[in-house]
Amino acid sequence: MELFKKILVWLMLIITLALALLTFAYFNISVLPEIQYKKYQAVLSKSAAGDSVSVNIEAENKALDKKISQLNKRMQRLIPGNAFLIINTTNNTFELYKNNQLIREGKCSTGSFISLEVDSTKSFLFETPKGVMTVQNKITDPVWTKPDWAFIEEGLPVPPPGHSSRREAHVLGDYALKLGDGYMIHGTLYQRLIGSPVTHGCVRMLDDDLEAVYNTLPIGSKVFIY
Amino acid sequence: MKELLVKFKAGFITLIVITFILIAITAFRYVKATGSAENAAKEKLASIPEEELHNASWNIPEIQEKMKDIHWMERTLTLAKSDSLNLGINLADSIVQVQLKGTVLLQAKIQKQTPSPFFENLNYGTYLDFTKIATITEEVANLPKRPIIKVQAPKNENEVKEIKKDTIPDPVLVWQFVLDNQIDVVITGIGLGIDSLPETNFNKDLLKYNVGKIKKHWLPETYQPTLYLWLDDKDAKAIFRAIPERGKVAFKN
Repeated sequence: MELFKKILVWLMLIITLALALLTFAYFNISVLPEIQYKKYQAVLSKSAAGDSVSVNIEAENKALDKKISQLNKRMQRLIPGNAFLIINTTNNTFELYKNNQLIREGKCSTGSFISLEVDSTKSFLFETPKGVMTVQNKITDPVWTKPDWAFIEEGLPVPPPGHSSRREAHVLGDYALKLGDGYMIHGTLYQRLIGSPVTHGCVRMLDDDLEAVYNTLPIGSKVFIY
Repeated sequence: MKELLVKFKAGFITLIVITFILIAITAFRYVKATGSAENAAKEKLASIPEEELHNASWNIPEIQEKMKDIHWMERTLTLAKSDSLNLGINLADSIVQVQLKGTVLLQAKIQKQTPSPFFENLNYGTYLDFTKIATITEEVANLPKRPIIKVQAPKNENEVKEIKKDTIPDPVLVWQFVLDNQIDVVITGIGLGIDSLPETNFNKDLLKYNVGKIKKHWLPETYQPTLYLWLDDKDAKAIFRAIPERGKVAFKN
């Protein structure tokens, strides 16, 4: 009986201690940050003196509506006119817009983020550049002019510029849209890889999507890449 | 009862001492925490021009909404002049968006926000300060911004081998950044559970972040309000990778 009583008291002491610790932790971890935020906001929220000065609501509303309408017009002017393309390089997806309406979306492939290390001074990073680019040229049945890295990654000697071995037909699909700096939107033989980050920096698309993009985007269209 | 107290004297004294220490620490932290929050707010108020604090129209809800819209559009137009991708956090519509040249490239719905609402009753000057275009000054994430994989170029054809990428999926994103307008933002991705349904425990996440803060600054000597946002993980990662280092951020609430 005595032992049972002893155990019971110690148990009560331990439980009380645990409760005290829990309350301490809860207050410091959860409640205190909230109190801090409320205190901070309360000081900032205090209305400044003079806020109660009478206002001509009607006139003020009119002026604000006018300003909103002007700003809306300026915002509208920023949206690319006819058609544009948005590429998401993280999820490897695209959205094609025409007259500000989404007309097609789907998977694509972008840069693999592989850095091909040739030696301590030379490397190639296969990354799709982020930002806004412009369709500079559109071609059908494109022929790939292989850059140096295409030989280096195959362990082959790099031929001189303009060498016939640099030209390879039927690997870029039926169409290509040139974006400048060697970057293109084109097709691929490896359709099953579309949706994965596997390219050397270009944007690869499925045949049907590529055709739609080619037909929708005129030269000069914006391509937004993020 | 008296007999019990005498018999378990050591236990009771320990309990009282520990409880007293905990109360003392809590009281001390409370005083420090509220003091630092008040000082931070006062410093903020002191940095705002007096004339901006006084705006008679601001207290009229209808006009306030319009003024907020105007500021948001003006910020967006300013950001549109830059060639960089930037972030718009529109708490009023529960949207986070990536913008470039005034075109919205990605719009992600805020699944959960804490505190909610965030800074609802600000005076005009403080609102202007809160919504001015801010720059990310520090950022930490559990994923790299650019997931670069280094591969040695083969010396000849025989050395060419297929590059095997890690097939383990990335963890859900936790991205914390500090803005130069003294606001911390934590964006957490909501991933899919084994049943392919969105799975997250907001309270557990918050607990983890708050414990992390206490570990870093045991004594809360300075204060910066923190906005916690939860987004779909795919969107969160796309936004994280899109926004450059020292990227620009605009708010609306």
